[in-house]
Amino acid sequence: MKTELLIEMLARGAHQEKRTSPWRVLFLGIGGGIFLSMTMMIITLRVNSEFLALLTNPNFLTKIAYVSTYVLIAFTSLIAVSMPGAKVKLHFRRLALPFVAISCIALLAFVDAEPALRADLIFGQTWSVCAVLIALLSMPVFTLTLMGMKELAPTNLTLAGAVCGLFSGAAGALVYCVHCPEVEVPFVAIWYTLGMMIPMVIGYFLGPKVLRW
Amino acid sequence: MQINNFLEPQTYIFLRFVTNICVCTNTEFVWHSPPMLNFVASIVKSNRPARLAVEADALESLFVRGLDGDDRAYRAFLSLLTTYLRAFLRRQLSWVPGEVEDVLQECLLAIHNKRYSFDRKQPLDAWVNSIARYKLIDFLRRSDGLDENEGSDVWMQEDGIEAFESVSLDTVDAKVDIRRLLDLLPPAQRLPIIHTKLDGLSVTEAAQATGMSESAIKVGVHRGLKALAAMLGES
Repeated sequence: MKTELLIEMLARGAHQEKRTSPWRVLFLGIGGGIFLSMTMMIITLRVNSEFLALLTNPNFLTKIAYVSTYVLIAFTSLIAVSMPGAKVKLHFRRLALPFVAISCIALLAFVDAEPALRADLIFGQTWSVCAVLIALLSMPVFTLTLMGMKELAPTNLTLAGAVCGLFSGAAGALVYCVHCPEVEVPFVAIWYTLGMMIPMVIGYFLGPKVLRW
Repeated sequence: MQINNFLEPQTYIFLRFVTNICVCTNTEFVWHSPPMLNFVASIVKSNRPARLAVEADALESLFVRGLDGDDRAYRAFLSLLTTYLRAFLRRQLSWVPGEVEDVLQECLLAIHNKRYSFDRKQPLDAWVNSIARYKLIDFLRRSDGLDENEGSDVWMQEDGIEAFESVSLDTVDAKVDIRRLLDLLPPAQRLPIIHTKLDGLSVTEAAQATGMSESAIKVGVHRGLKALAAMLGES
């Protein structure tokens, strides 16, 4: 087929084609995903009974701030990776800044504590399930964000996958905060970070396979 | 835009260092260069031949008019773009000249399908280049079994204007005939495309001819073109 014919075909009636905004698909995906994982959390894990009391706990607020930082970072990156022509690179040092900050706080708390209680700061009561639950809670967001991303035009699929993963991991962690009984900073620094990284790694490897357009 | 070609390496490294400190997000979210390097970008811009700058602007205005519903401007945009993309792809695919038109048609279809995700604040040439490069790498990967990292060589030449260099006019047919692929689509997508895109009917006329609703026609065209792009990517 001659290319001129294709041009003719594409241009003919182009103004009356369906105008879908790909951004709407992405944002609906994100919103729907967070709603789904919230529902999942409420049904299977239940909201923490002391949630309201936690809201004034400085450790809890640190946790929220830490996780929200990654939600924001990943969200801005999400927009950047979806635009062809934007130069986007992952800077691991910058990405690690919030983690370094919370690690410092965690270290202070750890040194400050009684030696006998230190293991509690790190392992709490639920260390074995924390990361896995965060990763599971992030899956609805992960799937829908990837679907939304596919409507846009990511040109670096590995990076786009990783960013989708990080975003959904952080969103999943934020949802998990509503359930999680742990507030100690060292616990958050280790297990929450791990939980957020699981979807990121999955996205890194899955991106080139599922995001092709 | 190859900024590093116009500067001494030390200067470039220093500027990168400064911008790395100044930009505190995890990604560099910039079109041509980091904000701190804007003055460098203006030097680079003045190095680009005036003719090309004018043509890139013309291309952009045609495209934007097309987005606003002017089909004639959109057709002119696609034709002008094709001459540049063809020259670019001929150079990149000089070892398989027979594939040029196929990859070119893939690029055109991709640009058409993604056109509403274009942000008008960003330069069109960078946007078009990235998509063309993406489709080129995609083609190289599936034709050659190149792995992901090898493809990134093509990636790293971030030369914004390269696709706009030379123009030549003789053409050959693509090997894959999109009209044949059309037969593989389900009727709900094939008929809307045949009526509105090949026979030139309006959406209302196509709806009357097929008995489908107008929105079904629009959705059918949209999904059908997406499916055609996916088929081209697999062939």
